[in-house]
Order: sequence, then C-alpha cells, then structure tokens
Amino acid sequence: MDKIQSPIQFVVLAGGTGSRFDTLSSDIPKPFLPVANKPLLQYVFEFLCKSNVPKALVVTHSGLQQRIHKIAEKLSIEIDITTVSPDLGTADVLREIASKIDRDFVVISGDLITNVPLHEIADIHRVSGSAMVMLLNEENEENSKKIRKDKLVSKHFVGLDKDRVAMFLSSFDSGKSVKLRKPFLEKCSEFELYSNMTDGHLYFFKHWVLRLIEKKKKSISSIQGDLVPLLVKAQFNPKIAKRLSKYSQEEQYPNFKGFSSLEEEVGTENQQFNIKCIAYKTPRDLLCMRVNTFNSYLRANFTLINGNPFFSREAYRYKTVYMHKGFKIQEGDEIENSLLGKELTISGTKNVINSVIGENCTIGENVKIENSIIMNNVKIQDGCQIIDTVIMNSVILEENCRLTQCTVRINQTVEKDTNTKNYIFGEESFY
Amino acid sequence: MDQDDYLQAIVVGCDFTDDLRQITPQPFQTKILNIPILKYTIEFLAFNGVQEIIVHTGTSSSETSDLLQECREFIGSKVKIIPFEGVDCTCTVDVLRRAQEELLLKKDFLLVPGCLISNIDIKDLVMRFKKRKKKDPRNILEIIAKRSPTTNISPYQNSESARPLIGVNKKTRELVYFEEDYLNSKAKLGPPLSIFKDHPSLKIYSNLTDVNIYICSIDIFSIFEIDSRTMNDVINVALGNAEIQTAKITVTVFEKGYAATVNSFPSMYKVSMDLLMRWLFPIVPEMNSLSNTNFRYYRSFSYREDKVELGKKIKIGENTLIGQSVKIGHNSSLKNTIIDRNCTIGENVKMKNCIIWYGVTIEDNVVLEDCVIGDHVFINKNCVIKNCVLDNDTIIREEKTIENYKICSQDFSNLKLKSTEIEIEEGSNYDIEDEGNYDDDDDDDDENENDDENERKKKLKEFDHKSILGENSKGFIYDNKGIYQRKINEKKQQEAKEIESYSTSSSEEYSDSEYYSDRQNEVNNSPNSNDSLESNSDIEKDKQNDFMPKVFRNFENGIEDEYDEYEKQIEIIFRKCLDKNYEIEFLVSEIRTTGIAYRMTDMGSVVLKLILKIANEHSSQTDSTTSNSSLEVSKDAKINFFKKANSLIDQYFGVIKEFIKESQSLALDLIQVIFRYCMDNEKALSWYVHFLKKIYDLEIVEEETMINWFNSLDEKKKNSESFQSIQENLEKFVTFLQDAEEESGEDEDEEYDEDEEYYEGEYDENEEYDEEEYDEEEEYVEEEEN
Repeated sequence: MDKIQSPIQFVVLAGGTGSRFDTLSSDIPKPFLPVANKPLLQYVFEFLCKSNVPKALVVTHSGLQQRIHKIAEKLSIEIDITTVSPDLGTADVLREIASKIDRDFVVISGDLITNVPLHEIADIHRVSGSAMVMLLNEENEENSKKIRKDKLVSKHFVGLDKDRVAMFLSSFDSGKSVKLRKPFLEKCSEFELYSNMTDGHLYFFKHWVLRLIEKKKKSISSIQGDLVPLLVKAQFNPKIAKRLSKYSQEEQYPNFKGFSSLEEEVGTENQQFNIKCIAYKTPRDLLCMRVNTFNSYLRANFTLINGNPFFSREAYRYKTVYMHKGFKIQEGDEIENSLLGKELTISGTKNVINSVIGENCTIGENVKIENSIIMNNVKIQDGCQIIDTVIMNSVILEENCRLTQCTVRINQTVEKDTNTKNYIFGEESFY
Repeated sequence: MDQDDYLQAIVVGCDFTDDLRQITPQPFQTKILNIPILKYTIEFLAFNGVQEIIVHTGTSSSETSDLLQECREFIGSKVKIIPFEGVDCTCTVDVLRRAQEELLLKKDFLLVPGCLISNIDIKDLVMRFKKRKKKDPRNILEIIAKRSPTTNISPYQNSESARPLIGVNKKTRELVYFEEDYLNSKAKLGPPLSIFKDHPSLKIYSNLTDVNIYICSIDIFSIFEIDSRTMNDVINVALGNAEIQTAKITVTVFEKGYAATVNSFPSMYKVSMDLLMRWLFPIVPEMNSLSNTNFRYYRSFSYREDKVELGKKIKIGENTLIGQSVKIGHNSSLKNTIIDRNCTIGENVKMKNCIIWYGVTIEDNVVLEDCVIGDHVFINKNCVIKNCVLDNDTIIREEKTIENYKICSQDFSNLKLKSTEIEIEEGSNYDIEDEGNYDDDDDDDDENENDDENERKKKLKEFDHKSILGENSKGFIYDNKGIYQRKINEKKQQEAKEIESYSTSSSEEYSDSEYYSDRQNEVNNSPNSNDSLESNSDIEKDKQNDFMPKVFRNFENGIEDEYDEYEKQIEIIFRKCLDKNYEIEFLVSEIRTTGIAYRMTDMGSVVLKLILKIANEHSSQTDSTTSNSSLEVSKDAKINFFKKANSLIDQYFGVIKEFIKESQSLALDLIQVIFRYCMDNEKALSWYVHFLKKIYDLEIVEEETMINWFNSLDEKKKNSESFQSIQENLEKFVTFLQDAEEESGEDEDEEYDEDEEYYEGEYDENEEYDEEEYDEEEEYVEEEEN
C-alpha cells in the first residue's frame, strides 16, 4: 500500500458464542448485543479509532459479516473480515489467519469495553521487548456488589512481580490451594498475588508467538487457557524457555542467518531466559470491562450510564440523564442516572431510575423502571413495575406487570397482571 | 502518657538449639568481634526506646550476672535490665508464660532472641502498632521481617536455617498465609483458595529471613495453646483459627537496615564480617562503646587495639580485627580473621576466615582456614586445621592435619549422664524437657530422638580421637561436619572428578556427583569388562554405594536380597495391574509406595525392565505353540516381542515417566536398562534402536541425555559382537537426535508430525511442562540435601 505500514497488526476476535450469557446471546449474537444502546463490537472499533488504528483484522463466524461491516462503516476504520468455524478456540483462530499476520500483533476480544491509552501499552511492548503485554484490571469490591451472582465465573490467579506477570493460573486447575513451586519461588521471591484481577483480553504479542501457536497445534487452543500460561511459565522455567527460544531467536536475528554458529555461542545464553510477560494494569480512573457474562453485561450497562465518554454526540445530557431530541422532562418526573434512546414516548409522569431504554419504545402511564435494561421497540403498558430486569427487543408488557430480576426474551408478550421474580420469559418456546 | 510510652522487651537468651553449644554454654555469650552478642541486642533495644529489658538467662551462673552487670554499665541508668532465670523453660513460649506468671510483663512488649544483632529503627512501628491495637484489640502481634538476598544462601548462611513463605494482605499488611520453612516442607505449597474470599490480593514473600523480632500485645497469651512451643507454632495457631478472627497478625518487611541472628557458626562468621565491613553502621568496631575496647580503624576494613606486637613482614589482609596485647610472629599472614586479646601467634602462620577467641596460642607454621577457635586453645606447630571448630581449652600437641571436625574439650560419648545433667541445668535440651513436661504427649517422639541421640553417641565412640588429634592432645570429637558442610563436599567431588579425568563436558542436567557415579557404573557394568574390572570396582562400589543404580548390580550378580524383593514386589503389583486393568494412577501410587518402602528411586527402570520381561514371556509363549524348541529365535517371535513391548510401553509410559521426572539421571538408567536387556537377549537386540526411539518420542528421555549416553560408551562395549550389529542403526539414530537438538524450524516440522501420532488422547503437552517443573523441583531438593 501507499501508506506507511503500521508496525503492529490488530486482530479483533468478534466471534464467541456467548455461552456464558444465559439467554441473551441466543437471541442476539454477542457482538451486536446493545450495551448502553450501542452494539458491543462498536466499542472495540471506537477504541481502535480513537487510538488511530487505521486497519484491523476481524475474525467472526459466518453470517455476521454484513452487520459488522455496517458498524465499521460509520467509523474511520478499515476492516478485513475472516470467518471461521464457531467451535475453535481463540488461539486456533489465530492459527487459521496466521497467513495474514506478518508482524507483531495485538489480539483484542470483541467484547472489551475500555478506554485505556493503547499507545502506552504499545510503547511498553516495544521498549521492554516482551513476548507479551496483557491488559489486566483489578476489580473493586464495591462494583461487584448489588448485582446477581454469576453462575460460572472463570477466576484467575495472577501473580505480579512489579509489572511482570509471574503467575497466571485459573482456579480450575489449582485445586484447593494456589500451588507455588519451590524453583519458582527461588527465582521470583516476592510478588503480589491477585485473585481479583480480570484479564482484559487485550494482548500484544511478538510475531514469533504466532509461530509457536502454529507449531503447537495440539497443546495450544485458547489464548487465555494455554498460550498465556505457557509464556508466563517460560519466564521462570529455563527448560520451557529453551524450547520457546527456538521460535524467538529466528526472529531476533533475521538478517544474520549466515552467522548461525556465532549466534549460538553468543546469542543463546542471553536470549534463553529472556521471555518477558508484562502486565498493564488499568489505572483506577479508566475502564476495562469485558462483557462475557450476563452479570458483566449488566455491570457494563450501569457503569456506562454513570457518566463517561462513550456516548454518541446525538444524545445530550440533562443532569444525570442522557436523552435525545424531542424528549422532555417535566416537573414531577423522576428520572435519574439513565440513558434514554431515540423516539421514546412516555405518557404521564416518568419514573426511570438507573436504567437504559432503547429506541422506539413506548411506555405507558404509571410505569416504574429501576435498575433495568430495556432494548429497542418495547411496549410497556400502564402500571408496570420493572426492577432489576432485562427486556429484549420487541417485547410487549401488558398492563400491571410486576417483574423483578427477570429476563424477557425477544418478541415475547407478557400477559397482564403477571407478578414474578427471577424468571426468564420465553425460555421454553425457543429451545 | 508515661504509661503509654512504657515499653518492655524480653530477650530470650537460649535459642533452644545446640548449634553453638560446642563452644559456648549459652548462645548470647557468643563473642562477635570479641564482645558477647547480648550486648549488641541490648544496644539495639535501648536504641529503640525500650525502658525495661528482661533477659531470660536459663541459668544463674556468675558469668551471666557479670555480663549483665557490664551491660548495665554501658547502657546507663535509663534502661532497667532485669535478669530472669526461667530455669526449666524449654521454648520461647514457655519463657513468655513463665514471665507472665511472675508478673514481669505489663503491657506491650518486644520479643527478641538473645543473639540478635541489628541497627534497624522500629520506634515508628511500635507506635503504629499501639495505635492499631487501640482501634482493634485483635491486633496482637507484629512480625518484623527482613529481606534476604536470595542469591546469598551458601556458603555462609546456615543452609539449615528455615526460610518462611508468607502471604500478606496487600492493603492491611495482615498475615494470612504462613509456611514455616518452605524449602524443607514436603507439603504442597500455596495459599488455600479460601483465603481469597477475604483477602483478594496478597503479597507473597519467600525471601525473608527469620529475624525473630516480634512486637507483642499482652493479649498474646490468649492464643497460646498447650503444645505451642515456638513463635511459629503460635502463628500457625492464630492462622488456623482465622475464621474466628480472634487474632490479627501483621507483618512489616524492613527495607533498610541490617538484622541477623547468630545461631550457627556460619552465621557467626558472616555477621562478624558484616560488622567489619561496616554494614551495621553506626555499630562499628571503633565505636568502642559496647565494651572497654579501644579499636582503631585502618585501611581496608582492618581494625587494631593498642599494644599489638607485630613481627616483620606480616601481611594483614582485609577484614581483620586484632585485639589488645596480641603477638604475631614474623612472616605470618591473615585475612578475614578476628583475633581476640592476649593471643600469641607464631611465625609463618597463615590464617584465613578464622575467628580466634581469648588467650589462644598458635605455634609456628600453622595453617588455619575456616576455623572457629575457643578460649585458651593451644595449637602445636606445623598443624593444618581446616573447617573446624575447637572448643575452649582444647589442646593439640602434635603436628596434625585436621579437617572438618567439631572438637570439644569434653568427651560427650563417655559422659552420657554428666552431659545430660549439664543440659538440664542449662534448660535447653529438647529431649529431656520433653520428658519432664510433656511426657504423655510426645512419647514416641522422645524415643526416636533418644535413639538418634544414642546413635550419635555410638558414632562418636567410633571416632579414633587419639589418632586424629594425637596422643597428648586434649579434646574429643563431637562430629565430623565442620562448619561448612556443603562447601567441602563439593570440593571433594571436584577432586574426585579431576582424578578420574573425565574430560567430556558434563551437561547441566546432572549435578556433578550424579553424573560421575553414572559414568562409574557404566564402566563397572559393561558386559565385556565384567571380569577385568570386578576387582577394581569392588572398592569403587563401596564408595559409591549410595549412588549406584542397583538395577545393574542385579543384572550382574542377582544376589542383592533386598533389591530382589523390591523388584518382585513391583512385579507383583504390575502383573496384577495388567490382569485387572487398574487405573494408571493407582499403579503409580502403588509402585511409588513400594519404592519408598525400599528406599529406591529407580522404579521407572524396574517397570521398563518388567515390560520387556513380560513382552519376552509373551512372545515365547506364542513361540512355543508354533515352532517347538528351535534354538534360533524365529522371526515371528521377534516381531511378537516387539509388538507386545511396544503396546505395553504405549500403555504404561505414563508410569515410567512419573518415576523418571525426578531427574534425568534416572532416565539414563532407563537407557542402560534397555541397552543391557537388548545386549543379553537376542530377541530384543534388533529392536534396540526402536526402543530408544520409542522412549525418545514419548519424551521420557531427552535428546541430550541420549547423546551424552552414547558419547560415553567406551570402546570395549563398542567392540562387542552384539553391539556391532546394531551400531549402524544406533549411530544413525544419534545423528538424528543431534540434528533434532541443533536444528530448529523446518526440520522440527517433520519431527513434530511424527511425534503427533503419539500425542493423541491422554497426552497433553501442558502436562509435560508441569512435570518439567517438577523435575526441576526435585533436582533442586537434591541439591539442598547435599
């Protein structure tokens, strides 16, 4: 191309079946789930745009390309979509598209919402010469309260020696305690061990890592599950490091192949233990959320409506409420901490607290909405009370429904005077 | 306010181990730079604003009270020093209990060992501790720890010293996980998951030294349990009850300053050197305030008092300290050496890394290295003494070379009763107190310990004191460990290696000794050289008994009863498993138990041998049905044999691997098992290379090991008839291996594809990495044990 090549390639993994989403993603594919009235994938694209990334490889499943193109069209980012089979692991996907990657590369999960300074991480990657830089986020306890418990949370134990990732374990393979091995302790004698770190799934990799992935077909299938632990271990285990150095050395002396004997004498000793895995901890005031569970979906929505820079310009702000033209707040209305979509009509006094309402919704009189997410084209008739509930597209709620901690799936009609707690509407009818 | 600021400290004089016992009755009288260490401890406490110091002495000897009187003099009247006998206290906790019973302790107090030497400032910490305690009375203990440089374990640091592994809540500094001694613990390490509920992020330290400074609240007595003995026990109890949250323990890791405890000879030497090198500033020798010394500072960390008489051409190297009225003869040299007052040292004496106490006489031409020499010792001329401890009043009257001994002036072996009496008086021997106080609880332990003690004494009797020390000398050997056990061993090995002059570059994978012994065995056991080497190897064997992979001895003689039994046991288990198709894990654990019972490590080799044996039987069975009793082995039998063996290895390679992972030298055994077997068995011979390939492909054995083994084959072996038939193939294979090791990239591709056939199913590479880590761990442990 005419343009100067960016030194790093970007790979967005926009597949993912959203298996941990309970029901949400079976109606709407995960990349298009509306988070604060925007498709999830758009956040990643916007993030890349903001960091001046001109081009990205997007990997997704067949059938989703068009809608992804649509999202990208609005933004100044050029995308190259590849489709893969949905049952591949994240590293398998990289193996599939390996031919398209010829430099150091970044892997971003399509479900990441963040505003960390990408160029800073890139600098760290470049300067440290590390095999991998990963984005980590320490979760605050306050955030995680108040929200329904996840059924299946993949917990990680992350050990950090200053900014170096010294340990990366998932609780599933560690049994009843976090195993620490003696040789490891000798080499890394002081480190911080976090159980509340989440992996942002934004990785900077050296190019040789791709070769490693290609070679180890059997043993590396997921980035988080296989590749990252392997790289992290290699830092402190000379044997693994030695093996991996096969891959890394080729790269470090691309022009000196003729001097291979010299290289072995001089190079190996220094290179051998030089695999570095660096962590970038999300600063306190910035966001790093992954929307990969039902719970995190709720959390993302509620975090975003609490004042942050992600909204489109069309919406304007009145006190703590974001809304569109044509919507007016009158005296006596109780609207707080909420995001209201386009073309919303609410008759009578309005009572919306801490909620997200999508486009084209019609809401009747005396409706109370609290801590809830309402997607597009929803009709809510008079006298409904909706608390801690997710209502998906094109749902009709008949009069005087009272829903607490429910999920209403697409195209459902909830009969009048329903009064339920903790229920998923429309579960049986689909599967 | 006065009440609030009042701070007590309790100094536990005896540290309840007998490491330094050969030279001083009480550890706190150990002289560091000619000054009893207790003075340093008291200086440290006074510096940190302690108003009342309770010194637990254990006895009421006049020496101790003199020492305390001296302490009072130099510290001034602001600080009260209270002696506290606590005669039959057996452990730190006992001392505390007793002190409390006698109402000595009033409020918060510091707990330090009597052999502490430090310059850190903990005033702030004490203040903070008190504040925290006001907020939450559950704060009862603060541990003050110090980072130790991990690289600096040997040789000065006591290799046996415990290294704790602790986990601290990052924000609150609360101790939540504690492993007393992680290097020597057999248990699995790591904080349990339940901790993370309350403490989401921990800071893990494995690089702390046991400085043993504690700030205690008076409420600490609430968490003492009957069987608590050391502070570590107390901590464990407190953590054990973490759910009830009766007690909170905080940890502060000190960044600046120096702190160390002197509880062994190496640490005594190390601390002395650190003092000379001024790491403990402002505590330096020329400060002269601790005692009535008058040191002056000379160049290169050299210190001298007045009235020192030096002969001509004396070389005084770095890190030396010479006390008052010392006489040193012409041409002597000293380096890293401390000499107390009134010593007389002759001509041409060479001293390196020595600590010499009061009034010692050393005659001409003596060489001293790595020694600690007690008061009034006499050493005859021309003696060479290395790595030794000589107790007070030892006299050596002959020209002797003495290495690696601790020598006492009393005979511990003959003075059984007397020595125990002495120990009771000192209130410091574990066994005896155990009997006294905890008779019912620890009966078994006591017996064991007593047995140990007796055994040791037996050993002592075996020493030929007279021949080692000379007829007219006065002194008895206590043990043959010397000061630096490990260093010496290494030296010996090196020497041994040099003698044998194996010139090949040994791979990193083996520790020297292992490598060496393996080589040795090969020589001993090569099939054609049996007879010629038999006589030589007998001697070798005796020496090498411990290292010798016994599986070979069995091949040769078939006599080793115990080994036979052990092999049979495994065979029974293995066959059972074959019949009933047990799980592999079960088999592994069974075999491991057997191995442990017989104290064997080569289970992998035995299993492999068994597999070959079973395959052989199998093939002969089928053989006998087809062609009866032909002497030549039929082709079918060969193929049958290989097939069977192959399938068995496929099935059970996990088992072999399990036992090989401890070290690659065991893998070397494996290769040799195959070699031996194939050499002896015609059926197997042609498959030899295939077997090698097999175990290589299954990643049981590494390339390097194989290549090393091949390179180490000696000529005699190579000349044997059977060997020549396979030589060609073998060489091909080795070249293949070398290629595999050297080349990367495309070549590995092919290799990999081949490998993948075997990777299917249960085999996962990640697992392998785990195991490798174990490898390392095991090697590591071995190292430590050496």
